[in-house]
Amino acid sequence: MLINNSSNPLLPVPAKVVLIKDEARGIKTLRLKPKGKVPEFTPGQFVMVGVFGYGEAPFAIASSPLISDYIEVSVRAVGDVTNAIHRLSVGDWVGIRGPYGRGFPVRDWEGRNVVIVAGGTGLFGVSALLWYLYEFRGRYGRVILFYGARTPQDIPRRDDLRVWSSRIETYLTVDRPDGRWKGDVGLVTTLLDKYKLPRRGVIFVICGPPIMIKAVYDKLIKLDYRPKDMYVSLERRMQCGIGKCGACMLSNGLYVCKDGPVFRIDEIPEADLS
Amino acid sequence: MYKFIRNIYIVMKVESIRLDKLRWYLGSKDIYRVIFEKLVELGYDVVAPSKAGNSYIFKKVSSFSEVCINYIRTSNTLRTFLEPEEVLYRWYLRDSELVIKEELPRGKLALYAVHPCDANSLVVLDALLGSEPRDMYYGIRRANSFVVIDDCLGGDEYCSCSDVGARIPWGGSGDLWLVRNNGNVYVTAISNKGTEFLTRYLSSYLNIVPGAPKIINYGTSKAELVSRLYMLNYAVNNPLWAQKARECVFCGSCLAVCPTCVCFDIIDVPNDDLRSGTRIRRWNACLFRSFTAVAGGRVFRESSEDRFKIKYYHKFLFIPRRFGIVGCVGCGRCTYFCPVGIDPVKVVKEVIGIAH
Repeated sequence: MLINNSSNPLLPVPAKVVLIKDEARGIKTLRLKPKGKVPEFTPGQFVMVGVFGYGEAPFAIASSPLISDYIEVSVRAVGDVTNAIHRLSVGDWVGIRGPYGRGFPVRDWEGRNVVIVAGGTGLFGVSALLWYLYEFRGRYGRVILFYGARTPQDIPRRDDLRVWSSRIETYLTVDRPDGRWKGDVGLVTTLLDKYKLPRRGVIFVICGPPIMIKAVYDKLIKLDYRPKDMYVSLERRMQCGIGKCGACMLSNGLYVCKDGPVFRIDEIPEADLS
Repeated sequence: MYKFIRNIYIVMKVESIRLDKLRWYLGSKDIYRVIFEKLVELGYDVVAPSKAGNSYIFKKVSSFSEVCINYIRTSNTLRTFLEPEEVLYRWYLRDSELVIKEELPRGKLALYAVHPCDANSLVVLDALLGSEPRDMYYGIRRANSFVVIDDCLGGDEYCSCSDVGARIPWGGSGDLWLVRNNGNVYVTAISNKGTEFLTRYLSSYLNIVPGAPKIINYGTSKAELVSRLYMLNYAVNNPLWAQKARECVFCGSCLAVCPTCVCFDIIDVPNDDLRSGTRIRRWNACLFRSFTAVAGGRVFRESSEDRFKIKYYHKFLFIPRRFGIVGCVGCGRCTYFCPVGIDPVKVVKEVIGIAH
């Protein structure tokens, strides 16, 4: 946990915005340097980022878990807090607390093939995981990333994608290509048909908008993969991040903030996928 | 190793206090005043039932004349005092440096003449808010609280404490327990704090007596409904849910008066200078669409049936599974205040097929 000189889990630590990157249409990445040490975290864990005067919202930590002097979050401007984050400048303050939740069980996957299927801003939920797999590439079998965005202009973290693709098989697809687009076209599920997937010892990681999670899940079931080999990172409305406020509770009583946000897919009802 | 969450079984951990295991004392009715005045003298803020128009409320009182112990139920609950809408912390900019100032609760709170159902609601709150990671605001208030349980005089048609096994105080619910009997009062201590209070301040007013008082309408944590709550696992698609959800008007009264509803939002209130402000806790509830609405317009629990159902599942299945206690204490407030006459305990019984 971030050190806040108190054992109060609701109390944030001040953090300074040290870098802002324009990623894609409506998406920015912020590099945040908290007062005190950056805590260790597992890929898939999240932090609550608060802009004072506006409120807090949960974001997956998108930087590498091996970096210890800052964290990065990538944010699409959709609501009050995210728009306030977009209006921040370098040198401004935010409050962060966390890291919260259960991340990806990366140590359990060693020796296996890992297939990551992400869509839209879902890439940020697996960015830390991709960094981890990139750094410890030798511990895993094949590592594949399928990523889908609406248009080529909507693809964020391009520098990172370039780095990852040197060690990770990366396939990008867009719904609406422009004249210069050389990758695939169509929903991310079409990539699962097009490219040959490993049959055995494979772990699937799904992260994206609810409708895409369900579509990928259905596709994988049709391709005869088992739910116990699939992991999903879910998003819900969150207020506290510590399993108290109730907002993120799933229909089987699990809290996304505390029991998740990463779930093995057979831990949760299908209705909660979409 | 990945720990797979298997969330099916209910193992009850909390049990009703065994009356015959306690040491009982007998005193006159004056003991109510003695306890009240001692608590005030010790510096407690005393929350007690008090008359308000035609109903009763819990409120902070300073004189015994404001207290009214002959009540069936209060409109508000103890949660109002232990988990209030409150400032969590203040923030301001000082020389362009951000300062966050914690606002932790201070003082001691005595919850005086509360019925066993309300005392048991504290056990549920302890599980929900007091479990790790602990809600410190609740935790501090609770650690500095003293609970005097006044036994119930019989309740009314809205009560269902016997059904959920909450008629007798559960372990950890309170400190002193008073039972009125033919003009006299039986007193016992049910915690270390209570024992200390009793021996130190009350022994000169009380005589030790053999045996235990007779408790009316006896129901324990082994109640039939409690032992069959697991059946809710298999009742998710029962058509009764849709039918009941159509009766509900989604006003949220039941949750506003529920002693075990803790759900909240955390929101920002900036000051006029825009360089300082507070972050506060404000109650919210699962019946409302806003509770699961996210930026961009998505509402995760959109269907009214799902929003109706989640309350029942949380209190009668999820809390029992996670903490080994029933999340409802049968106080009857929800039924009493429901404008369309929905009785949640009755609904659960119907859904899992127990005669009411």
